[in-house]
Amino acid sequence: MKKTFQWIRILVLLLILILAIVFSASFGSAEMSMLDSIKILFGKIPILGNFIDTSNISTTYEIIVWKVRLPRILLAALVGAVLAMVGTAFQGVFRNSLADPHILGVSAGAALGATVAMLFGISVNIMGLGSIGLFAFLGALLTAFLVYSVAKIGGDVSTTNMLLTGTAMSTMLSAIISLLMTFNNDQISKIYMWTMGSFSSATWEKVWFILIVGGIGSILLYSFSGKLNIMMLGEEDAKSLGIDTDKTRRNIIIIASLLVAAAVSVSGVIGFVGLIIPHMVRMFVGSNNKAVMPYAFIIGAIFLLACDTIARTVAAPTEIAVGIITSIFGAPYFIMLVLARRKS
Amino acid sequence: MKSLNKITIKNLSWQNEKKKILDNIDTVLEEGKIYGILGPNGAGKTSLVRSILGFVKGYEGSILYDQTNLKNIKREELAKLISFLPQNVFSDVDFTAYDVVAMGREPHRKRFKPLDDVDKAIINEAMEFTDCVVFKDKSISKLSGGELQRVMIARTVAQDTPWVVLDEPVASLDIKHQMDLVLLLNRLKKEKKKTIILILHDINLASKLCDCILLLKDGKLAASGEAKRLLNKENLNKIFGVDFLKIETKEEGEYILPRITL
Repeated sequence: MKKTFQWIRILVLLLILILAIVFSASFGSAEMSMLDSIKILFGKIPILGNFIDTSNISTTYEIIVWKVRLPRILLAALVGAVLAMVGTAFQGVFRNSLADPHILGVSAGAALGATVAMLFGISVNIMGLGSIGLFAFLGALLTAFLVYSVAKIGGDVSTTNMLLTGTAMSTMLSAIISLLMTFNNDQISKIYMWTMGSFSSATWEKVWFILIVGGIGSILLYSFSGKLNIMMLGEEDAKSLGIDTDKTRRNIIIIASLLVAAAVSVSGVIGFVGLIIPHMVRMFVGSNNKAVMPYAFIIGAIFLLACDTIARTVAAPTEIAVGIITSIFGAPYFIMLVLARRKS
Repeated sequence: MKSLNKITIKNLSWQNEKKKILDNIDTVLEEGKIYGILGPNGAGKTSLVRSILGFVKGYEGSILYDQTNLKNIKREELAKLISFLPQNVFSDVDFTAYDVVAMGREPHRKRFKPLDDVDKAIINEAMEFTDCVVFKDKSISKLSGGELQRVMIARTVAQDTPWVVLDEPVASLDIKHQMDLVLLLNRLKKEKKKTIILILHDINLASKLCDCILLLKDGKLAASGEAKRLLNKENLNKIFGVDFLKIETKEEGEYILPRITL
């Protein structure tokens, strides 16, 4: 009985996500009706599309929706899902409610990689990432590796050491970015926009990239949810239940770091989503990661998609960095939730 | 349930960075009994049970589970032989009591495989055994110390191991809950045929509940043997450095109390 109830809730959330996608697709500088955007979106679906008449919609609109808006919408949704997922995993594995996807310095590494690519005008394109994305991805991986290696010195990896090393590394890398910005005045706004996060350069290639990496990674993280639950009760307690805690922790951290690297390299450093969405979900479903992870995935997608829609429309044609929106709208909402909880 | 006849500890010594914690401990633990480990703070009680559970690395000597060296037993296999109730768990997490008891099935479960009907029957039975069905959907963060203890014991029952280790299970409970726990542990031995190793501070509880006692001091096994014989004034005075009184009662036998002089 309880299980079916959960499935219904997940289905409802998925429906909201689809509605949000359709709604967002009809928003933007080229005004079009919601009905038209629905027709364009569903007209592309095989079989079902045959019954939908899109002949009276101008092809410009079709191109706008299909080539510009939809990739951006899907990219925002997927990045939101991945960040919320990683936040859940990190908060569990570090037993720290302030942990977010950027806590290990991986994102600062990505930002430095992106900055270097921008300043030196490097131009390559692998896996649809483009040079900035690629350098961001490499910077993220390199940082993750460095932080892990330092934390490993002198025996088993301690999570406290990892958090401290990650925080220190993050501060140092951010300082290097600021230093580079100081000497390259002309590029400041471009670098700044990137570090605040934006989906304005979304392409279908990026969507596929994050769909594959994020999809596989999220499924793998979910497969650790049972073990992660047990580890949240205590280290030796988990060992006594047969869990190789060091190995499990290492695997979770590696997968999560890869996910962050992928997300940041297509979107920049977007704060708040990965920190707050897991907490929000836990308020309703408790700490069980088997429930928290799927909910966080879908709600993270809806949340970031909504924020990006606001970011690109509210002050059009000026783009607002999506990281600004997530915090300005997300923080008060979250504080309200906390207060409402306290009252009841 | 798997079987494990005995655990043999041979010349077990262990030291951490600063000092020697366990000093040449030699003993055999046999199935079907309740073992109580007593001794002053810092005597090595927790280190001894942590060694038996395979948490301690770099010790000298050997620990054998029947004929197999502990070092050659994988964690997953060990978790089917011996379960553990730590002194504290992080109970600030929002898991339901049922979820926590269900964790006891982890060693028996394949990855990606959800709980099946057999698992669920075992979990329900375990929760009935320790009388915690009424709060099965309650978050463990909202349970009292006694309730949490019952949930944790239900988890070891669900884990279905022949041996159970408990680190100071009565320490944080009020007297009523202490008595309930002692009854529960005794039922665990009688009805579930479990071998129990527990660390205790209460001498009279130990003497009523345990079959065998291990007395530790300064990392050494100072004495071991049948509880009633071992827990006398002289031995206790030697171990704890405190004078004891023996009180004879007609109905309940002997009680031993520390002498309080102001």
